[in-house]
Amino acid sequence: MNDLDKTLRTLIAQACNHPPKSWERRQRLSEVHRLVMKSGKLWREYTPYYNDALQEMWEFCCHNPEQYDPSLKNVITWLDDYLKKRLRNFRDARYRQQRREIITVQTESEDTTDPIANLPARPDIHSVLEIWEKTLDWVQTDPDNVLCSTCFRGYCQVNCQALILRRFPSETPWSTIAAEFNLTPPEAKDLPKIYNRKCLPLLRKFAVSQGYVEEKDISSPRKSS
Amino acid sequence: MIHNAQTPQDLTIPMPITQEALQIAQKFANEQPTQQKALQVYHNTLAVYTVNNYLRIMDIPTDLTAGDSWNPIVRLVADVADLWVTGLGRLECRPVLATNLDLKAVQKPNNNFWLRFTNSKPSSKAKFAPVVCYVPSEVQIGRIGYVAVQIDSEQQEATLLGFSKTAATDELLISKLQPMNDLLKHLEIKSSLSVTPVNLSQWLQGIFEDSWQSVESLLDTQKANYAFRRRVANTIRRAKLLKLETQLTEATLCLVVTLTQQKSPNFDISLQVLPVGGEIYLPVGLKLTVLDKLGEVFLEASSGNSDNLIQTRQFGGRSGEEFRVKISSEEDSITEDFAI
Repeated sequence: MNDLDKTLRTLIAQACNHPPKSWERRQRLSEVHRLVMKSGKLWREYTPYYNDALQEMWEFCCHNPEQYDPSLKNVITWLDDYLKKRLRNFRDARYRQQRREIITVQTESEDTTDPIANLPARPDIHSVLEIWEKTLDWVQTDPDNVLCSTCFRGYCQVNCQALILRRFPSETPWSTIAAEFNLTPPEAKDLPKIYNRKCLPLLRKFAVSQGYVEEKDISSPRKSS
Repeated sequence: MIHNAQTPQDLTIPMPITQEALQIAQKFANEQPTQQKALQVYHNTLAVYTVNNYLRIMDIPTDLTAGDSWNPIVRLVADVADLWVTGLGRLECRPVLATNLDLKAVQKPNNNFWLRFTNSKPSSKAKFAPVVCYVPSEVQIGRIGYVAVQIDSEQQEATLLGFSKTAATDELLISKLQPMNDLLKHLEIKSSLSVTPVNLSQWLQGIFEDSWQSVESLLDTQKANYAFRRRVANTIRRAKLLKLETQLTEATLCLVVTLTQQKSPNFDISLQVLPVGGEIYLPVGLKLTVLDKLGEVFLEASSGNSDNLIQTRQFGGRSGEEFRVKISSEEDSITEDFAI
C-alpha cells in the first residue's frame, strides 16, 4: 500500500464519519478529489467524452463514499472501476447514436451521405438576432418609461437607458461614462454598482416578460448571521 | 503542461472541462454581437460551468439556469459570470486565462460568429502564470463570493485557483486568494445560520443564543436610553447585529427583541431595529415585517427619511407559537425565526 493510498483511505474513512452535506465530510472528499486529480494516476484514455465520464464518476463516488470497501481494493482502483463503467456508457450511447444516423441518411441508392453536410442551418440564428434587436429596441424606446425614470442620484440624464446604451453593444469604460456626465470620483465609483442594482433587475424583468427565462423566486430570504 | 497561477500551488483544484460545458459556452458565444463579447461570454460560461461541476461533486445544490450568466439578455449587456447557489445567492466565477490565445472569429455568411482558437506557435508561445483575476466593477456587489477559475480551453482544462469573500477592486491578487476549502466552509456557515428558531421561552431561564447579546453591549448608552426609556417589570431584552446589503453599502443593524411575561402562557413581544456604530439614521426604505407560521404578514413597519428607529407595536403570543421576522431593503433581506 503506497502513501497516497494510505492517505486516501484515511480521508474516505473520515468523510464517512460525518453526515452527508456537512462541511467536514465535503472537506475530506474535496481533498480526495484534489489529491487523485493531481496524482495523474487515474485511468486515462483519449476519447472526446472522457472528461464528462470523469465528472460523473466523481459525482457518484463523492456522494457515496460508504460504497468504498477498503478490504477489496485500493482507492484509485475503486475510482477507476467507476470511471470505466461511465466510459462504457458513453461509448455505448455514442455507438447507438451513430447507428441511428447511418440508418437515417441512407438514400434509395444505398449511398450514405455525410450526416453533417445535411444538417439544417443553425436554427437559432433568428432568435439570436431577435434578442439583440428586441433588447436594443426596448431600451431605446422605453415604452413604459421605467428606464428613463430610474436615475442615478439626482441626475436625470444619468438614467438606466443612458447607461445601458453606453454598455451595450459596446462596453464604454465606466470612467469614460463618468467623465461624460461630469461625475465626482465617489459618484464615478458608485456608477457600476447602480448598474447592478437598478439596471440589471429591469433587464431581468424584461427577459421574463419576453419569455427568454422563467421567473424564478431566487430572492429567497437568507437567514441572518 | 501549464504553469498554474501564483497561488499556493498545492491547493488549487484541477477540473477537466466537459464537452457539455464546451458546447454550451460555444452556443452562448455565438449569440454575441462582437468577437470580443463572444470571447468574454465563452470564458465566463466555462468558468461558471466548471465551478458548478465542482459544487455538484461536493453535493452543494445550485441552479445553473437561474443566474444572470444564463440569462440571454443580461449576459448581453453585462460582464457576468454568476452561479446561483440554492438558497444562498450568486457566486461569481471569474475566468483567468492561462494562455495567450489568438482568437479568430470567422464571420459566416449568416452573420454568425464562430470562435476558433489558434495558437500560432504552440510550443514557443509561453503559457504564463496569471497574477491577477479581473473582476468587473458592476459585479463587485451582490455576490456571496468570488472564485478564480484558470481556463485553458485548448487543453480542455480548468483549475480552481481559489476564492475570495469580497472584491473591492477590479483585480484580485491570485496570491492572496483563499483555498477552495474555505469556500466550502463559507457556504456552510451561510447556509447553516439560524436553522433552528430562537427559543424565547429559554430566555426567561436566562439561556440565550450566543448571537443574542445585552442591548448595552451592542448599542451606545445614548441610543439605548432613547429607545428603551420605559422600564417594565418582567421584561427581557436582547439584541443581535445583522448585516444587510442596501443600495450601495452593507449596513449593520441591530435587531432588539423585548419579551414581557404576562399571565402564563402569554407573552407580549415588541421589536425594534436601530443603526449601530456612528450611524444616526437607518437606511431609507428599510422594512421590518412579522410573519406568522403560514407566512402571512401580520405586522409591518418601514423607515422613511432620517428615521433613527423602526419598531412594531407590542403583539401577543402564547407558548408553542412561532413567528418569523424579516428585515429587508430593496436589495436584500434577512430573516430570523422565533419560537415562543
